[in-house]
Amino acid sequence: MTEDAIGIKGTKDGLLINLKGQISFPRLKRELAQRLTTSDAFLVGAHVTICLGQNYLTEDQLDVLAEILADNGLIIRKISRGSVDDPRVFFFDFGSNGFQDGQEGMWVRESTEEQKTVADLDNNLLSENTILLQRTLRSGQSLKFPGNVVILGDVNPGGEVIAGGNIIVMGCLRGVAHAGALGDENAIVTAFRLQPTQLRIANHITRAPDGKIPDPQYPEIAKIKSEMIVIEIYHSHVDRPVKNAVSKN
Amino acid sequence: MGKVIVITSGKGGVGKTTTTANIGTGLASLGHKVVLVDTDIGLRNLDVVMGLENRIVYDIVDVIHGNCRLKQALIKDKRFDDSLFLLPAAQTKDKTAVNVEQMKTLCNELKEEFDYVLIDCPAGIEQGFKNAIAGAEQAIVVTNPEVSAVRDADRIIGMLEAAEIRRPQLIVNRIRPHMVKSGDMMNIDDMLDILAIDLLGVVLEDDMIVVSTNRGEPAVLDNNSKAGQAYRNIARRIAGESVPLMNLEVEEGIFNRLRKLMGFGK
Repeated sequence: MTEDAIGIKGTKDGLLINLKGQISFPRLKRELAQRLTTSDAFLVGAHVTICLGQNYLTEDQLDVLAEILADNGLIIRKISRGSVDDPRVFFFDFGSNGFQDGQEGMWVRESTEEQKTVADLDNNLLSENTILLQRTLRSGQSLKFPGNVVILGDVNPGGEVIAGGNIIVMGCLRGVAHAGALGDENAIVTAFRLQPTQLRIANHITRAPDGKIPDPQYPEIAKIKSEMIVIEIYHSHVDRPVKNAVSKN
Repeated sequence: MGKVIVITSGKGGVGKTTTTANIGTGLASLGHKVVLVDTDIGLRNLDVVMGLENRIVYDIVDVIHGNCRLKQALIKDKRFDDSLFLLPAAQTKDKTAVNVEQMKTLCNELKEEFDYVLIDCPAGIEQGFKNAIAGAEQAIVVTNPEVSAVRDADRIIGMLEAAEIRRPQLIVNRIRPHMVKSGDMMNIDDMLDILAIDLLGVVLEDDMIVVSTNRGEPAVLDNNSKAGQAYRNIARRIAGESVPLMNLEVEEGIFNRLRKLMGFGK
């Protein structure tokens, strides 16, 4: 049995797919697809970095790999050589269902790892898949989707929603919600009554403070600010200053 | 053609068997022909609660495997003339002894002969539960006013809905009004908020249940039992009558009133 040509490892920055030695593209495709289907629970928290090692991939070949990964709910965030000599890094966002017709992916040549330079306000529209659930999610029921999720109903304790995008609950969120499960730290969770047992955005986890806290009286939104999940009153005009923090009715 | 109703809960110990015994007895006293089926194979209790355990010769597993005819296994409750029967579970087998198809056949056979077929479901969500709901058209979910019971009831309701048993009804059992009043126990509205199904009845915590179980005489037969009264009302509601919910207000004893006067009470 030949040694595995690809190593898949979980790191704090997400999933690292390491190409060891020289590997032919057909073999790479096969092994990647096989490895991904036999492991489960990859849906949660996966940025993917592909470390090419000594291999070279054309754009078309990268597209194919991206599709294989997208089939398993994963998004490539970074392709690297794995060595300091070639710090060329590609950043693309394929969305959860590959390219839309006529649209090209957003290619950005980055000189440093963290910067985003392309106007990516409309970046989010690339993967605009949203599902609507028109009933309550009961205990033990689980809803997983790589895009956004809107629920017209409650999420009862013991129920869970896992979305690659945002989560909107038009009811009481009393269970577990994980937004940005594929690594998107811009994802939000909002509900008419935000009372989750646990809240997760990308790879941050939080829960309600201990002790008895008053039930929320108005819709709230949870998002990541300064590396933490913060919960604020929900109001639609995000950029305008708020007149009264707490409504008096 | 009778109705097959499963009485389930998810959580153990909330009062399914007690409820099955009492509703069944209550319906029989109203003149209907009722059979109680115990599907808790291996841990049978319905026979004990009904006071019929000494009369068991054949059980549900014997019937399903063809060791005897259905009539031979049914135990007639002598308190009711031909109106109330029990099909006991087996104690020396376990829940893998019967399967879903066999249960469906059995329930179809039973509903030809009886007005109400009440199925006492075991705790859990595995084979025992699947067997119990196999032949059922309606469901009654029993729960206690307590977070873990409600959590499990919610799970069960989800599974009932998935099994196409629509509109289950809720019985809240073992409620203590003084604790609800002081905020130490969940109140009915909070429970209905989460469970979101119709309320069939509310049964008070009652010491007489312990006594009635030990004696094998269901509480509905006792006029002094508060729980018995609640079960009688529930039986009437199942039979189609519209019965208002019992007043659960705490009756203040003289001692408590005195304590309040002196500033010690709540």
